[in-house]
Amino acid sequence: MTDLADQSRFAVRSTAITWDRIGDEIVAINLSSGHYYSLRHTAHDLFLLLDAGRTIGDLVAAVSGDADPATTRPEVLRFLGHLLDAGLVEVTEGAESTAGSTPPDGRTDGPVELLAGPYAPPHLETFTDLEDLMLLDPVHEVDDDGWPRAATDA
Amino acid sequence: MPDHLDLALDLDGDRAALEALANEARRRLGSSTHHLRVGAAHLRVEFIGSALRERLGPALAGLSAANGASPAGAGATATLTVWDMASAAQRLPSLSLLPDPRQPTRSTHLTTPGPDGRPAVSCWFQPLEAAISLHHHRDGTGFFVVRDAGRLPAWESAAPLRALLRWSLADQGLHLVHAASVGVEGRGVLLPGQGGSGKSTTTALCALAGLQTTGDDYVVLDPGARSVHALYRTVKLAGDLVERVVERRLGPGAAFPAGFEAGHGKRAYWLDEVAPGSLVPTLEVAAVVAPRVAGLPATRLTAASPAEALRRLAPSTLLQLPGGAESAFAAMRSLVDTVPVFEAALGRDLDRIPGEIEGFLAGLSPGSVSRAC
Repeated sequence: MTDLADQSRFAVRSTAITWDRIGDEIVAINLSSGHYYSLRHTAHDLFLLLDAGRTIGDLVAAVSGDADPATTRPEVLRFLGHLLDAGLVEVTEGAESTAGSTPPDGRTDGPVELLAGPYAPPHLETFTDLEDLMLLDPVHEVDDDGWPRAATDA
Repeated sequence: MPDHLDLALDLDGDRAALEALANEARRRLGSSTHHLRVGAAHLRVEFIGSALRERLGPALAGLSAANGASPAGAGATATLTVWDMASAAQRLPSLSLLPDPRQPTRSTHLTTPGPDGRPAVSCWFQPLEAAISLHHHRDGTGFFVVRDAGRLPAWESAAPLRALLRWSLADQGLHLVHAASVGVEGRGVLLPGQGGSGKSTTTALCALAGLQTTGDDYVVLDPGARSVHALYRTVKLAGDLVERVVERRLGPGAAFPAGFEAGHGKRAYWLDEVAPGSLVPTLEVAAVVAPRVAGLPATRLTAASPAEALRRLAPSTLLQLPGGAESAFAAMRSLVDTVPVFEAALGRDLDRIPGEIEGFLAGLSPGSVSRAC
């Protein structure tokens, strides 16, 4: 996983990721991988906070509640690693270059409406049942009529 | 999708090349113009030659030939030109939208944004089908060209022109979604679900029992009106369903249409032939009901969360149909947030399913917009 400093910030990837908050859940779809995701409870709040440009330190402080940050911080970092591995988010910049700045997609550092329930280890629920529907079709050659051909057509 | 942009991409040039090919094909083969009305959208569909008209035209619900009293392009929200290169004796020119085997793999779907950030041009190359779809959103001009109508996979005849129709309908605020619908007296339920969920079987059984439908696999969602429109006449049935249920309902020895291969062990039929009167242009969506094959003694409907309904509806829609993901996702989200949503664990007694759906619909208060969970 990328080495993350406490002042690191993130953004939901602006391409290939479609997501929204609906009720107490965030539904996100990675159009590149064909995987889709459900984020609830603490994971829901973390996703909204990182999308709002909060730092890792902010995230841990915001979701820990009565829990010990020494316990929650590694769990939050592990969750962020899962988000990065899933291609849902990307690290924007470290604190030196972005502190006090507006996140790149125009979202503001204003209040974020959280579920604010008790802390629970954040979990990225992943669904892979539709990855066969991927729209990426590698081509390997061009035939005599000028048509690129996929492997299955070769 | 800016990550799909590359410097070699010249979709305006590709459009010019396709227009030139279409003109050449039109001179050689002639063409026929049809109207396709879907909700408020009015699409003008020009088939050059007869090969693709015969392969793709029959599946389009509400497709009508233009006549002298109605100028072909009058009031059309989009114009789609469709032909195959084999019939026109054409060779595919070099187009920038085509993936290059010498270059790193990229998506076969590309969209370039206009100055306002909205999609300007969308295209999709399907290597397996040897088909190209290209649509200019600004003037509603689209092209669908295939290498050879005779080599087009059979499933394309069940739900043709998906990309062009998706893009041109989305320009009118209408969204092609991967779902079925069934209803009574213009009011129905949307049935999302991927293959094997039971939505096609439920739709077929309901249609055969006299209920209405706007489609068994793809329907057009109008999120503002909370309604779905028919686009295709198709219903896909597994062989065992045909034998066990359909033929039994039609009576011993009754002739059943031959249909055609639709993939995944199913054959495709026309709804208005196997269940006359069942295919209607529009249904109000009173609820979203996500089916799943459960094998219970009777179908059990339980309230679900809007998020669960969205997970059943949105991923399979967006991953099967290229482009317009954000607006389509917003439309589906709007729907599941404003109508009751349920999961239907389907019973094993197939004959009971239509009555169970009809009873469920009767129990929903008309005009209900609140969640039932």
